[in-house]
Amino acid sequence: MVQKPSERSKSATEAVDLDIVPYMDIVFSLVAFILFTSTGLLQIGVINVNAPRYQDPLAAAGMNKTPEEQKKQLNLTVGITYKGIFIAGVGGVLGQTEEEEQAQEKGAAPTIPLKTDDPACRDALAKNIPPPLSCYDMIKLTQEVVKIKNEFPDETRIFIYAQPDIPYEVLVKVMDFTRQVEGRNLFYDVVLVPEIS
Amino acid sequence: MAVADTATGQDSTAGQQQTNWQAPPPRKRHKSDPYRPVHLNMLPMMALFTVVLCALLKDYSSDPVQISPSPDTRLPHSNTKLPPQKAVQIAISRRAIMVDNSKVAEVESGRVKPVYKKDNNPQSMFIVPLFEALRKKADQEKLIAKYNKRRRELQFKGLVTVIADKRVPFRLLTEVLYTAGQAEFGQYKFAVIKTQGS
Repeated sequence: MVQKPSERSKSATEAVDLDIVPYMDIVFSLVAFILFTSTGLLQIGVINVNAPRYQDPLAAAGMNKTPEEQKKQLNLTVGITYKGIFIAGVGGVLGQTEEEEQAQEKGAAPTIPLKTDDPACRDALAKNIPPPLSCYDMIKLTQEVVKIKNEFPDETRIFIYAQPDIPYEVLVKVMDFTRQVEGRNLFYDVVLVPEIS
Repeated sequence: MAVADTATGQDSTAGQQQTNWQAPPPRKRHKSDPYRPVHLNMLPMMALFTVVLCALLKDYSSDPVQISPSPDTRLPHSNTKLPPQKAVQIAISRRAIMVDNSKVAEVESGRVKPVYKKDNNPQSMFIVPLFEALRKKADQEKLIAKYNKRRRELQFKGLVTVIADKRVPFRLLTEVLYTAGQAEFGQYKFAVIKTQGS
């Protein structure tokens, strides 16, 4: 006996129109909310910095270390001033003779002077005011730091100080250009030293 | 009479004009193009929005630490690769110093107002309300650490994230760091915007 065809098969051919407008509303609202409230498009990172710590005076002076350890200690110090960047270590200031070091307090030339091709830099130098970031020769800073790293490959600590009105942006750039170059780690253990006047 | 004739003449002329004017015939709708509702296909747009939403949600959820600088704060750019960590946030803008989004001191021309300094001395490095706010945070974190001795991530480490405007002078930065150091916060993380390729 042949069965009668089902009625359901006929009704299944009708097209169902799905109303997606409410879904669109929700998705659009969520996208707008996330875009406006998040800083997701800005990739934020951090730079680690340490403050100078008090320690045993003997340890600070290196009295309880072997002569070899004392010799190896570098204490690389980078100073950001209105005239340029000073680089110094235990042995003295880089690029200066002993007489120049003695004269430094009277205003001797820094290790990396400001660029003078820009009138704004010359103006800042003449008025003794904080120069713009572009006046500092960061490429030369990296070159000098690489030379030091070649001499002291195990050293990672760097002390950074600056004059009072040096913008924070310059400080961050100096840390960038002394931390790493072409994937090679230089001096990434940063210690900030209170300002010089 | 002449006036009346003239008037009637004018009236008759106007009447002729009115009878001469004929309204345009009503438009006939062609039977060949009847009104059809336009059906807009929204599915590709919906798919696009769903993909964008998923990408944004992933980005939103993968950052456990939210650093959102205030509108007047412009962060410096850096090539650092380190991600932010959970820490007390100190924001230094050109107008104020804030601890976890609550204002503690006002800044004017790159200097903290002397009323907020120790003994009202403008040369002092110590910012009193900042110290008090950080001291409270340190006490809270120590209390949490005390009851969660087994969980290393909840131990007090003295971590501070500094969200500073790139034009902030070094002197103001060192004052904030010095005060944070006094409140037992000795490890600083400077928030920066990662540059391309870092």
